[in-house]
Amino acid sequence: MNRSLAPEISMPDSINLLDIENIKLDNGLKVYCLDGCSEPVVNLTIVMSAGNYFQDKKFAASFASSLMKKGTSNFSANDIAEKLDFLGASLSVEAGMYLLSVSLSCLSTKLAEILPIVKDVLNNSTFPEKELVIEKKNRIQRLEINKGKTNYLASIKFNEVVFGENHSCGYQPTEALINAITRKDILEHYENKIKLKESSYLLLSGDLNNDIISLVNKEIGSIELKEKLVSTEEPFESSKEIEFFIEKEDSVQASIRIGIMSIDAQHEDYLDLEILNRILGGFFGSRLMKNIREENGYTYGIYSYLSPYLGGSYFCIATDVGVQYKEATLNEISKEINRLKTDLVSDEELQMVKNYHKGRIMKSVDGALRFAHVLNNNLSLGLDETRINQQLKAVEEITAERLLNLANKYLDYNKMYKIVVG
Amino acid sequence: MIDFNEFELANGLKVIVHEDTTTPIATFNLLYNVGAKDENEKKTGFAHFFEHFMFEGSKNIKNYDTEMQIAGGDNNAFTTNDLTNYYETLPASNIETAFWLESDRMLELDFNQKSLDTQISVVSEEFKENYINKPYGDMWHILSDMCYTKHPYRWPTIGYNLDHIANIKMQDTKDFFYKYYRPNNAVLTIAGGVKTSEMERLTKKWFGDIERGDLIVRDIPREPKQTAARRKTVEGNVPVDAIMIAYHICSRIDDKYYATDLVSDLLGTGTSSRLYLELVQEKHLFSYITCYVSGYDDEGLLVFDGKLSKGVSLEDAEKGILECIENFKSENVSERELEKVVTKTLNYLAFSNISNVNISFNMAYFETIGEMGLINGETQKYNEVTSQQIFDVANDIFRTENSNTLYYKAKSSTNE
Repeated sequence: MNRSLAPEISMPDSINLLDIENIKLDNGLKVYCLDGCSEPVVNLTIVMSAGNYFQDKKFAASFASSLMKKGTSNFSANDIAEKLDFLGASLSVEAGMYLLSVSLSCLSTKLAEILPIVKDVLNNSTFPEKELVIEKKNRIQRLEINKGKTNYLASIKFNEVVFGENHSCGYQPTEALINAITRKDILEHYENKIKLKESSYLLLSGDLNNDIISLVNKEIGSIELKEKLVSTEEPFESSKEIEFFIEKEDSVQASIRIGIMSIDAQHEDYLDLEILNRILGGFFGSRLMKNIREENGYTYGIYSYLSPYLGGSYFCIATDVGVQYKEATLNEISKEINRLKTDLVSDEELQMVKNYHKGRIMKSVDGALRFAHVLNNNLSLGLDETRINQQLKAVEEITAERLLNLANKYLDYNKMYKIVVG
Repeated sequence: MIDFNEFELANGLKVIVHEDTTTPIATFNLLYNVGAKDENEKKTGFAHFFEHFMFEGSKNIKNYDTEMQIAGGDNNAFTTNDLTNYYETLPASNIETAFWLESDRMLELDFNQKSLDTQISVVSEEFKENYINKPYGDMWHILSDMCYTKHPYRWPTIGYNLDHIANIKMQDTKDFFYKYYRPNNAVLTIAGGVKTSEMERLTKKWFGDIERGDLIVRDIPREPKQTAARRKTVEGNVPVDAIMIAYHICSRIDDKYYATDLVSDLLGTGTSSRLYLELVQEKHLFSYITCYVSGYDDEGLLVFDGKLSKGVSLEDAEKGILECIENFKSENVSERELEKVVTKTLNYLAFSNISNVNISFNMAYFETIGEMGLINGETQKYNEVTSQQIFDVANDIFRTENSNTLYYKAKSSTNE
């Protein structure tokens, strides 16, 4: 046996996606059902247009999401916490840039007892003043702790610089802003933005059957839907200044963020740009990881990513390096970006990235719960499940020439924002 | 219910396969029965460092990661006090690539000096990122050193200090490799879209000719029973005071472990737990507090871990925790409260069993500790815990002379 010879590789040509069943609840709420799981569990995720973008006051969306479980007209905060724990359910509410989602995971056998609580959280939260006071105090404290972390400081500075300090994704969290939020602000956001609308939707995944669907219909399908909101575009205003070097005393490491606004996920170049990003810094075998970590040992890890949101995306390279390696790291990052613009990616490297990329797509949709997660991401960008096969097609067809062109079109190190904290 | 098939090679490599026909993906998991507790106290952090070194090329294969990625796979590894675990997830059609790569690095490493030097630097940056450049990052270093006086659990897997990492020599890696990275000290598990017969053929093909190593006799000092409370106060560059209190508990393998685990859940997991309700919500002593068990193979710890609310003194915060504990010790928990934490745990186990990554690791872990029955038996173990057992365990653990209290004071603190 010759151990230096690799076994033959075969990548599947296509992925068998689970069927998605589209139904509507009695109130008209759109539901995507994904059935298929070895354990008797179910996940229910309800999504509404109520993220930061839709808030009238800074922090309204995130406070509302933290406090929705902290008391409703039928249950106290402690009741809800105790009941959910007793039923073995995990219920989370998260506010993102555009969307706010309420997500429940539990054993299917407990669903009937849990859904009334979920319904109440969706429709009857009361936001007790007492809970708001605790939440504010704890947030201010967390903020102070975060301010001691170079990677936190670099990330929020990056957001501020690319989106602009007034944008709902760019403002800096401060104690004053946290203190300024009132119960009234939160209630308004809840009433006007969070409560289910015609535009909200629900993803139901796991080991499904008709009983589960009827239960969901009985509770969630009886909530009256409000008219959908008209959204206007919120323009970002990236900074004019490009470099931000912020010293932090006693740091043994510096956190680096380099990036720029990029294209919308629906743009024709986007899927190929994802592959280009993969090569640069989108996995452990990327050029940045090989250079900055594996060759030079400047860091424990370095990644780049394209982060999409409805209507746009931004590109960012992130790493923490020893303070003595700041300059050297920036130089190497610049070199790696330029190399993508001047030299064609070799056949070998391209094949590796293609296979790896395909393997990740396969894994990401393996099983109903994971697939529901991917579907949700796509829906949030105005896309649907056909995106997955488009991704596969893009990776099948990508060429080295195309990547070189894209690098020249989208990656200009000189224009990118550079944040170094530490 | 996890079904599995087992077999063993002549060289001592144990193999367990879980067939899952619903997925085109497979996870390959190779666990070596060596962890930070096997380290020399002058060379701590070595097992974890060595895990990094395992990715730096083997006898016949220059770059492990590249080959794995060509096969559409993803891989990672982790080191704990007790074990080192490597795992890969890839299309099941390419599972042989995992056999090829893992068997070659079990056969022999490249032992390249430049790679060694680079990984010393990478691991030093990992050390800085997680334990120095982060507020409260060194608390666990201080606490474990307080709790253990003899047992090697007294240092964290990353190591005591940066010097131990910087001083690693090539000979150390060779000695360690030929002692611990042998087939008879490993368990291989595969979970996913594969067939056992084919896995058996591939295991024999790729691992069959690797020679077994000498029998390893672990000679790890037992931690003497703690007889007096220990306390320590340190200052750190942090915005708010923090506290940790640790009590010695049984090992992960002990039957009492299940009741002990539930004690920590009752006290500290989630927003319906006692600590949260009493100390965060009612008394506002903490902005955050939790409690967990370490789950080590040898005798472990149950740890209270909290960040104080501004203006609260460490003494009052500690008093709050101790009152909560005394309360807990004084009477049996209700059936409902017990049922609550049991359900929560069973729910966690069910969700964990959805992932073949978890299944393959769990199979390898239970086989390593000689308790393969637990792969499907833990549900029952948790179900059988009674409130009397909870009462007994709590009264056994929570004794002043079994406690280790660490005050972590903010340097600029004006609390007093």
